[in-house]
Amino acid sequence: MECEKVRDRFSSLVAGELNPLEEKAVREHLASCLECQKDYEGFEKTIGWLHSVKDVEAPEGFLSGVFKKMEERKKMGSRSEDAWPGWFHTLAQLKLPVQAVAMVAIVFVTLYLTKMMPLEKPTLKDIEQTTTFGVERKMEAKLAQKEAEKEKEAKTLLSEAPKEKRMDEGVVPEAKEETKSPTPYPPKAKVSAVEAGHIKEAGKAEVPSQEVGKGKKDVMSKGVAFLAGKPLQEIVLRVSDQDKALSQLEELVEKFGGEIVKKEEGNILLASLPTASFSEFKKELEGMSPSKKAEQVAPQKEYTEGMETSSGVKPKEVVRERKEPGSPVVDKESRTTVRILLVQE
Amino acid sequence: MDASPKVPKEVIEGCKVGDEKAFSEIVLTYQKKVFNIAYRMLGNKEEAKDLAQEVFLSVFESIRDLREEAKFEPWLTQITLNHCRNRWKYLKRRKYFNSESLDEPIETEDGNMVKPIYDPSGNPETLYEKKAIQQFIQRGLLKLKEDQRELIVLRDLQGLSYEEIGKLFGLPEGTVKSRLHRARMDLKGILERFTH
Repeated sequence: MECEKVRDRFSSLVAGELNPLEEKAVREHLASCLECQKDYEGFEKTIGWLHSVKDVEAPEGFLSGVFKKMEERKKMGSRSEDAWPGWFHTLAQLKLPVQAVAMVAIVFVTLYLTKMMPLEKPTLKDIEQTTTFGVERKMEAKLAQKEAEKEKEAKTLLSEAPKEKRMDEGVVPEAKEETKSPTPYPPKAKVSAVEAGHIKEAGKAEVPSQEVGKGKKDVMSKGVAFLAGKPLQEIVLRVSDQDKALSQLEELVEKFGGEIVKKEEGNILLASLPTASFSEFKKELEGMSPSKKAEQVAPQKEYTEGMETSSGVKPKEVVRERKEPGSPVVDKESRTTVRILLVQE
Repeated sequence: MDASPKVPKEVIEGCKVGDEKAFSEIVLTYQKKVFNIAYRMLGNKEEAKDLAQEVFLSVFESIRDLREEAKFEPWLTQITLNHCRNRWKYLKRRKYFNSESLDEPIETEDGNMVKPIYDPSGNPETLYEKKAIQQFIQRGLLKLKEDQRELIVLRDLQGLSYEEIGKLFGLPEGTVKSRLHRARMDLKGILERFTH
């Protein structure tokens, strides 16, 4: 038997747990191997010493010490309990299951989060409103630009007006075009529709739409002022000598500080006169006519009617025009434009 | 140990319902056993006393959870070992065992004494020699690994069977035997190093 195997059996040999054959083999090895024999002697001694160790008695007052500690612990426990509020002890006594408490907590958290959601929506609205403001501002800028362009066009038209055969034929279609064309000055109803569209698209922003409405109104009033400068007075002058009357008329216009804007087909004049001297100019003009009467054609109503439909609110100036058809239309620079038709008697 | 607790079943049941008299009976019955395990595991009487008292407080607080009164003793031993392990860690963290050297006074059941110059090869005839051997073994035990010390204390000092130890540690008897043998051989080596 090898030394290692013999040493592994020391405990069993001491305890007498080996079978006789094994015990014989181990003892034979120990008898022949001095090293293993020495090891076994040491092992035997160690076990002998261990078995010689006697239990010691428990210290005196052990039991009283246990109860003393028990009381101290109770005191400590009561102190720590006092540190907690009364409701906590009541809850602790209920011994609520942790799961139930967790469920209640989850419900409260869910409710809290659900309530939080509507609060977040206005934030989104705000963002959309900001976008709407931007869109509306762009719209206003575009409208202003188009207004300027339109004003230019109108001036050009004004200068080219005598080319048209009749004043009413020239002005009214233009006004109609303006009324019909939705882009430059869309009617109020259309503007509202557009606004509504914008609002829908941009996120129901009310304040910006009002601002836009206001802006559109300004644009509309500007449009009225601009159209007011157009020649809406037409006077039919019956003369015997057309050329003479024409030269007289030119002199008269110059006399009253006015100017001939355009001559058309020899018998139609477009003149611009200061408003202050227009009534006197008119009287003088009547004096020129052999029949002593200059026929005044009423200003075209289509224009104003167009404005009514476009603005939805009747401008005061336009209403006044309707009541007093003969009264001149005053332009921005206090000048009156008149179209004079010379008719041979 | 399972079959025959030293205290009647009624005493354990009385302790379960908070009877202090029953608890006192349990303490008086098992105090020596618990104290000695603690003492051999820690090597200090004061620590062992404190620990043993804590063990009985734990018994009083948790005896309601003990379902089988017949298993009271293994249950008590297990609680004692758990307390010893915790206290050992606690003391080790505080370098409690590092300060001890062979030249310092060591503790016996009669109090501190100067380390004897003792050759264990002779026979322990006198009381002094017997005490010296006790102290010598105790020091050797403290040098062992904790699990090895537990095995030697339970088997060689407390006399538990391999089966009982196997149940406490959840090990087969064969494993307990082989580990115990290894622990004894290691203790032999430690004690031999002490003398040389």
